Amino acid sequence: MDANQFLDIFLEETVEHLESLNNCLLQLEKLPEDKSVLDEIFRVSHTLKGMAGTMGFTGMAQLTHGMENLLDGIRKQRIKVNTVLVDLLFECLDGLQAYANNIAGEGVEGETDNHGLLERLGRLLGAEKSEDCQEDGGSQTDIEFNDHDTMVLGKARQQGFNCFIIKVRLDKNCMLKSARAFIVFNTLEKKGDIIKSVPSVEDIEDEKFDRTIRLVIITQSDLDEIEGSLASVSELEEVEIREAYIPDEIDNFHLEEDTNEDYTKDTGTKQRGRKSITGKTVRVDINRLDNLMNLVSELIIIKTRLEENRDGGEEADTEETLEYLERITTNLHDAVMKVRMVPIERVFNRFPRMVRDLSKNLGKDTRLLMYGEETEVDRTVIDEIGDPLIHLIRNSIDHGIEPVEERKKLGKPTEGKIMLKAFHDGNTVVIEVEDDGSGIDIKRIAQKSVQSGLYSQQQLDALNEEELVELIFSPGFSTAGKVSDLSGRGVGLDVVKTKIESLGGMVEVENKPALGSKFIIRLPLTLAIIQALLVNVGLESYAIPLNSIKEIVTMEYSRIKNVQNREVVLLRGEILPIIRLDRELGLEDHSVLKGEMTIVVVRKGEKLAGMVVDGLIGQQEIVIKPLGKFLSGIRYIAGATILGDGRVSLILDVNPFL
Amino acid sequence: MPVNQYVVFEIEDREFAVDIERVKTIEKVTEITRVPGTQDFVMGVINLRGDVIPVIDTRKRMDLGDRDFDSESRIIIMNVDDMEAGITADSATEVIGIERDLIDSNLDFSGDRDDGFIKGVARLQERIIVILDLEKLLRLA
Repeated sequence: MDANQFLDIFLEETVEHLESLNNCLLQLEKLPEDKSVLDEIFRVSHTLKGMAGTMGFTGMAQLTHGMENLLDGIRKQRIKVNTVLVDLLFECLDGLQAYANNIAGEGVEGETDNHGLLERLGRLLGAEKSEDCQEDGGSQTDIEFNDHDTMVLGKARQQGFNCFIIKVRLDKNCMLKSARAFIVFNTLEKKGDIIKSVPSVEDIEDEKFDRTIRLVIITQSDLDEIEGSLASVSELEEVEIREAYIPDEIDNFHLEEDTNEDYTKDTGTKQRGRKSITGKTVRVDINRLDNLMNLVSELIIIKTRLEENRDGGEEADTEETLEYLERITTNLHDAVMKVRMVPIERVFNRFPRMVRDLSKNLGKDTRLLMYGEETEVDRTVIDEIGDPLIHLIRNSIDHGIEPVEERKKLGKPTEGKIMLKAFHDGNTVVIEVEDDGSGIDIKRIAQKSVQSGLYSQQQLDALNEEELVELIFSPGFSTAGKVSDLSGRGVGLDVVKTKIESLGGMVEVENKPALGSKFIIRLPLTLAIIQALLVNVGLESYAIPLNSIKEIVTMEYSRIKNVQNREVVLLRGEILPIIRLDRELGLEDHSVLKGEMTIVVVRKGEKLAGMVVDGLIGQQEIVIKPLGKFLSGIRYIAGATILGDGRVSLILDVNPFL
Repeated sequence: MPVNQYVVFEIEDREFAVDIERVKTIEKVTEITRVPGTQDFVMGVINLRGDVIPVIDTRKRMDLGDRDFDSESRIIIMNVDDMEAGITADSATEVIGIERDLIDSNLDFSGDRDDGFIKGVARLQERIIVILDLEKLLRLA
């Protein structure tokens, strides 16, 4: 047994519990009288305490213990729920979060000192401590020596070793019983040899035991030493050690039978309660999912192959099979994608607390309304979308929502509203962050960008209103009059924009001066399968993601002009820089400088460029495969895909060209 | 005496070997897609049953001169540092066990052009088998 194998489980569960604790605390603030919320908080802290204790994270265990005492005080109506109390509980939550982060990062909980917190918890409670109620779990099996054991013990005794029978009963709150038992074993094995245990080690590993373990140990240490070493193990309710009498002594270690009948019932309800939280999320090994994805991609490849067959010889059968296959792949694809999908709730969950804290800090009154938390998004997107959203919400509170006084003057409700919406729109997910604040002040944007030297007045004069609003996405831009610790440092919306675009999405702003602003983020549902245009360059074929293609045009070679050493063409009166893909990709310059050429016009934001290709193969759904660690970071290449004939084709990354 | 298993392959009539633990499969040469912007010894990538695997031109890597693939040519797929890559060979001949004693890893290879990739040399009667240092061979820098 290795305690490390529990660490992952521990962390995952801790994250979940902290999340639900966070939600409950927010609810408690709103509904201080609601007993079910309180019970839930109590239950969660209790579970956390047990888990932390088992894993030997004493700081965490102490903190949760303190919280538990306080919560118990509330439950017993000795103290009332008020802001101070909720704030304090939130601080505890932060403390726990810090511990969890440390554990996740370094495997130890770190040196964070939470004595101040503990003291304040104690003070709130009036230094009154709830009594830990004692329950007793029983045990059925007794230790029995067989002939072999007797012989071993006899020999050991002859050689001057001590033989002890040790009975250990785990605390009833102990969550990871086998891990705790493992610690007990470990501790004892430092002192001597454990020759027998009831239940058996296998059963203990499988958690097939109640709470009591009996061990027989052969050691050179004396009874006090053994007792001392076990005293350092936490979550042991009871330790009994006595000399083993041999050879024919009948073990008289009869344990008190289960005195509390409610015990089993109690754990029963506990387990059900647990499910309500864990049931929301499904943990699937991402590797397995990737494997599944691989299979699906194979299917798609076969589909493509069939399609190519059809182009060769035509039979009605092929047609039908094809349709069928198409249907299957589509379904399979959907099913697999669903497994990869995670409700966006996972990201949204942390925002209520953030909004609460921020508004308090900034002296604003803000309410966060969330819609469509159940909207499902690919895992890859979930992991990336959090930071940009945090940024936008902070922005809304900091720059958008006016201070209470000002809102009164304007005749707006004193409470500012921030709306966070998520929904599916075709093949994309849309996330909106809307506030009813002051909106974006276009004049100020213009003024600021001239002041900070980003643009000249002439440049700005040429822009229309929408384009002016877009300026907030320029690097280095900030309108905040004063720099707060949240925003106004000029690193902001450009980062958001870059991030979203790197995910294949886009950001827009809708601005209603004096009424508020709305940021709209559009993201692709998945990042694993895309539509692409296959093109020929020389004898090679490349895939260009469809979402970066604006159009395809053909024109005479002779229309290429040289402007400042760059090749350009005029396309409908606009200058379009030309990229000779063959040259860029290290192929021989084979282009005949006459006749027609095909240009794929690609875009990145507003920037356009025309890629000269030698032929178009067609549009296809392709599965993105990574090139692997070995070939990572190659300019121009975003990945690879496998074509219908089994060949590998590279996916062009158009960004470096623009 | 501990015996390690090695996959032996030939390039330019010389015998090379790699630790069998590192070898995933041995494949016939399939179509290799060139990857622009890589060093010249990176031949490109192949499709290995749905995975895209880079292939190293062992001849170029070790400066052993050029030769076209033929029906004997093989790509030996390796697993090094959690990444998969293939190396080309004129032919993959056999798997042999070599006693550790027979491997001399303290030779002075100075002057030899491919010295950087040699982990040791095994002498088996008439044969001299060069055991390759895969980490170095597959290092791009």
